[in-house]
Amino acid sequence: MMQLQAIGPTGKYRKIICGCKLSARCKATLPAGSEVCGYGPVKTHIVLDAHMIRTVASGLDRKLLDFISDPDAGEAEFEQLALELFAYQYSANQPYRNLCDQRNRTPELVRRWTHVPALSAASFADARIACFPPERACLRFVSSGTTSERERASVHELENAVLYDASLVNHFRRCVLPDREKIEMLLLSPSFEDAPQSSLAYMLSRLYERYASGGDFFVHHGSLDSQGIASTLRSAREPVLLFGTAFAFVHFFDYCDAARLKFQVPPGSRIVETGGFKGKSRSIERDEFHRVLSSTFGISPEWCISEYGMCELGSQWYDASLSDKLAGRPPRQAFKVGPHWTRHLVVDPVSAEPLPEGSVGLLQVFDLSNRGSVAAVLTGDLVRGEGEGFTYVSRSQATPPKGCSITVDSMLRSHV
Amino acid sequence: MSNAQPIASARTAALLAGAAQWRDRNSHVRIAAREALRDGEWPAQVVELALDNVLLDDQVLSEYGNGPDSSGPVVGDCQVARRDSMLAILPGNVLGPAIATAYCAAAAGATIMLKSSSRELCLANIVAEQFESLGPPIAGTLKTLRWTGGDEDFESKIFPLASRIIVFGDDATIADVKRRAPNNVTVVGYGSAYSLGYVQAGSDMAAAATAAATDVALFDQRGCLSPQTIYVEGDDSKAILFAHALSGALARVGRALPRGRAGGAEKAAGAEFIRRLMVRALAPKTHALDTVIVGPDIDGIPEFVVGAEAFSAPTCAGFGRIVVVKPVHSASDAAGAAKTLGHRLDSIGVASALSPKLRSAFADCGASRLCSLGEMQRPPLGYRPKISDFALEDSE
Repeated sequence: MMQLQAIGPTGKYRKIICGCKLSARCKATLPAGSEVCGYGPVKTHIVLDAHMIRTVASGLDRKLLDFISDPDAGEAEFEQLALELFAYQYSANQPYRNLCDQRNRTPELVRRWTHVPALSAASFADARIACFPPERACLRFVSSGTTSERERASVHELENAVLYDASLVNHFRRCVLPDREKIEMLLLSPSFEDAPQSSLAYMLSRLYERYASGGDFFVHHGSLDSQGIASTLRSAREPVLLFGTAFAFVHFFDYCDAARLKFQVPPGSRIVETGGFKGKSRSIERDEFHRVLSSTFGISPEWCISEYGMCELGSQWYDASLSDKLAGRPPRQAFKVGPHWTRHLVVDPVSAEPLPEGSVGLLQVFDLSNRGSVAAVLTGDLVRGEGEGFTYVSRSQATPPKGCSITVDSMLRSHV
Repeated sequence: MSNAQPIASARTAALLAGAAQWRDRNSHVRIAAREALRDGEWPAQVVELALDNVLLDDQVLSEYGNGPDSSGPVVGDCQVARRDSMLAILPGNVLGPAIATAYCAAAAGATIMLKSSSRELCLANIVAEQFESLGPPIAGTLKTLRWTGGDEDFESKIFPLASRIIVFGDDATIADVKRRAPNNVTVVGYGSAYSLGYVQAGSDMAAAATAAATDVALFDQRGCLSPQTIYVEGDDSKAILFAHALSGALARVGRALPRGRAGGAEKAAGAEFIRRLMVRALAPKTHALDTVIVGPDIDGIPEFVVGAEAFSAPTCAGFGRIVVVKPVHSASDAAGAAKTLGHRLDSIGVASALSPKLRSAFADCGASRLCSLGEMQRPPLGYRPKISDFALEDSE
């Protein structure tokens, strides 16, 4: 109560949440328009006003950007930033605060990033998960929906793109392009201009701006330009990067089958597929898919990698095999590694408690680039955790299928 | 002059005798069902209550059983079996449809093939044996079949043998059966649906909570008659208080009606639902009462979960004794929210009396049935499926 009396009359804080028995007295001490909520007899939290939240956010953005730019940043710095970010997100994000309060894990009680409550990725469809008012959103990504008509799509809003951009270009460079400054890009996706709510289209557009020596997007108005891809591949003299959703590649395979086409792309070319199949009807096994990729384009398997990402996260995970090969290490097939500003846990699908090394469980990530929403996110994907990375196993049965690949597939099928 | 009337009377008498056996816990059919379902998915108490509820309506059986016989022509003193039968593809999420479907078909004078779900294979056989023991004219009108649902090869042979197919299942299953059924075979589908509750202002909260808890507990919210969301007239505090009353009632009812077995996927889905509920739930307002109330853990899954959310469209878990309580300004607003379920809306259970005002408020929301809380799992015979589903337009 002393603390509240001290801060109440200053007018710095718009909303104070305190023990319910104190609410009436607190109210009397606050400036007009202040709001006080009873919140249990033992919890006392201070929630910053909008101006303070923006000030904290700017400071955090600078620190997080420095961390993302520093590959040698250490564990202690990560821990400190993670807890700072958690305190900010708890203060600025009401639905997330609900979760933390319900689980009794609040900033004053949490001492390690591993204890920060993880928000289910599906919750991005249930509530607005953002630390800023809607009018400050500069980007709004909508997930590719689900196979369940009753499930709403996830929405991930960004207050600015600084961390998001830094995150996607840095890790892409490390995992996909460690040996080159630029590469010709054949992107089996619409551009961001054509799909302004797609996080994948945004990511590819940024990568194209930054790393493309040529190439194009090959999905226009919902149609895959297979002829254009084939023609570009035939004339390629320098290494190319093919990047697209698994379904887009399958549609291209269909075209190649019908036209009896095979390619031999220049050495150093590489393929990144994303989105997987996630329960859709034309699913084929990953190994088989990569075999067809390899044989269709004439690329050895370690140059074909998968990306793992989602609308709700700012960071991506890539197969380590390509960067391993280029660094002279034995390629780790299907083993996904994340950037140094992320951490992951493999947790029990029921208890959400961490599982021992090597177990299969739900992937939970802590992504420092998710400053404007929630950093600790529990995905609906089952993985096997191994050291610094994981291998993808399947979509959890408890979660409806979703993903970028499904959007592209339904778009392409509707235009057949 | 036709001999149909005496045969119809005999049919009615047989059906009434059969239904009385199902209501008698000491009858041979109940003993057989109890034995067959022992150690299955549902606890014994749930089995007993489910079987008690199936054939409550002598009146319905009398009314339809005495009607014109559509199962085939009468030649001399004998009724000739139809050259074809109807086929019912039964659900596995609740107990009872096998019995209700068999009796509805028999009341309509139809012959039927019952295809049981792999989750509940015994009740159809017990009814078939009962029909045989009850003798003419219902003996021989029911056959049971087993195959793996979706076996296109087998189904391509069996579907043309049916004059009509009544299928319970999700929308995709129904669409699939419709696609593969021959053009001259009518398919009647009963797809996934949800029910809701409504607690009027001034209702006895404790009584409403106890009544709702029974509707929730039977079949663990897996059935289409289970109230997934209960709208409580009043402000957030009212909803939170009702949520607590309901959780108390669920704890009490749970002793008499223990929850069924849950598989790994249901446990994981339950945990995920709770995590999401914690985000959506109302902030505690009334004396800091929790707004997500999780019952005691039973074999890795909470006995029940009650959440209080802000007013919005219904939240439907469809499993795990999970109920969401939402405040609502009026019955009209609740009806508007219910309407968002579209064809998936089944019943609405209301606390206390069904006044004309309430009936009027819910008249256009698309609910198939308006009943009292506590009665939601006791629909009249012929509600789902309908007896008319089994009546042929033309007698051959």
